[in-house]
Amino acid sequence: MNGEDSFTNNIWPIGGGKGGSGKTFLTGSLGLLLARQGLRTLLIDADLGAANLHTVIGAAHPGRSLSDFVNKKVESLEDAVTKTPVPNLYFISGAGDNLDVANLVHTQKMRLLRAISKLPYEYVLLDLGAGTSFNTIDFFLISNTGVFITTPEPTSIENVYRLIRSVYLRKIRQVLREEAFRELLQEAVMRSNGSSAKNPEDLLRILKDCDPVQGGLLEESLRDFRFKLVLNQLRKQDNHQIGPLICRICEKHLGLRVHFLGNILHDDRVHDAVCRKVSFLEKYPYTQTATDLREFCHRFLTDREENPPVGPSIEKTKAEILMTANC
Amino acid sequence: MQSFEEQNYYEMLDLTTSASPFDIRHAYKTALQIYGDDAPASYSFFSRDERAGILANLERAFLTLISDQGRIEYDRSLITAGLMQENEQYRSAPKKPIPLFDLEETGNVTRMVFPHTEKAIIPPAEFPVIRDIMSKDSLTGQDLRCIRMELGISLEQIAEIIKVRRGLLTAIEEDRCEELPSMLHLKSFLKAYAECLRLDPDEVAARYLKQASGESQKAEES
Repeated sequence: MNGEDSFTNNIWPIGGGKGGSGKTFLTGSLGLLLARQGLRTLLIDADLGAANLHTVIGAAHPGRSLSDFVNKKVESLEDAVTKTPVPNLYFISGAGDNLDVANLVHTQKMRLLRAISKLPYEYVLLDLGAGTSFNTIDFFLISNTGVFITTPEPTSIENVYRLIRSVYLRKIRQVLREEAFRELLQEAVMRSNGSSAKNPEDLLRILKDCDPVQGGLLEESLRDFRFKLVLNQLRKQDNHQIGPLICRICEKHLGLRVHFLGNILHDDRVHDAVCRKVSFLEKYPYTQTATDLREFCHRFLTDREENPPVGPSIEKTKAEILMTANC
Repeated sequence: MQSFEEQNYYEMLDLTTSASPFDIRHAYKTALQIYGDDAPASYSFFSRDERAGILANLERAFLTLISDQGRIEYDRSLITAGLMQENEQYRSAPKKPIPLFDLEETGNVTRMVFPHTEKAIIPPAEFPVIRDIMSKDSLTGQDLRCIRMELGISLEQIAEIIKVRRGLLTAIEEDRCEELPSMLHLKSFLKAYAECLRLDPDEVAARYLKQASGESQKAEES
């Protein structure tokens, strides 16, 4: 990135691998909460080809959309922005996309990413689609940030790990030159006796063996990621500690810093609010889930600068003992 | 970032080298929550072989660190490998009671061992300074302080033994008797104080009070 970093810090891709884990709902809610605090916030429906953010935030028929920019109907991305009824909240819809928008070609995608990183908003939230296609992952690499969402179900956890590893692998690819990457893959195949390397962390280790300088640089750039994790749709009977444990695994085995931002309780009224096409936070502001969302927004804002290690800490384990004792 | 197998046992369990057995047990329990066969947190993250390897490593780490002998030997191997400092080892220290009085106030942190110090065993009468003072027929606070200094006993030590606030003892030594609750208190404090210095308690109290009453009379007259 060359000299355009001034806005990149405020771009937060929100993804989670599995469909139905609440990415769109959370993007909408977080955007609303940020806007209420007076922060100029832009939501972009980057779930190309399966956009539905407009439905969650109650802007059913936005005039313009992302595909207007992709197809060059509007000159700048700024022209595709729609206002919402909420002050300070702006929105780029994906509604009414062309049906082939999901298959963005590389040049179009690069143009879009560049345009996004130049947008003058305090926060830009990207609602990403499910899956681990390049389209999704490249949004994570515009800024070194991102919010991952998972539910406590193994299916969802499996997919979020898959997404994190895909981002990791894509970053390795981005940092290394094309041929160096191919050499690295060959080396990995050789070392593991013919079977192709499965995990990006193994690739990094092999690279560090062969070329410590390059490996160190890559490791540094991986440390630059500032990811967050949210555990959504937590039922009362679920293990509340799952989120921090996932963060610890990422820290320990991938060397990625992932901060846990909290649990969000499952609530059937979310379904109700979505069906009525109204904002959950406005209709049910006094529920536990709404409180969890506000707490999540608060941590999202305050947790941004400092980076306390997620990993080993006796204090933390003692706090865990106290927590389990109180339950 | 080191791979899991390259980490030492403390790193595997996310412990510091000075962790107590309690911490070790707890860390192992947490680790099983993360890496156990049915742990949801690491579901699909590891292949079956990787998981088995990690669990075997964790078990070895736990069993080594939790046994006293095993831990000492392991620590020694880490120290020789230069991965750990000698002073970072865990030492089980039995808990000590918290001192009643704050000796930090004067920076004197030596624990009270009075009256078994060499100096105090010698009868006070052997010291020429004390003999001189005791030959007078009244004693001032200043005299008491001289005796105490000669014996090398701090006010804090006395305060801790006789359970009287240091401030009150200072008042006695500075002849500010009006700060004490009553004459009765003064007398008993003086006796205890004298006993600490191995002087005759009745004698000291009588002489001091005589001097103190003389003082107060003088103050009234003027």
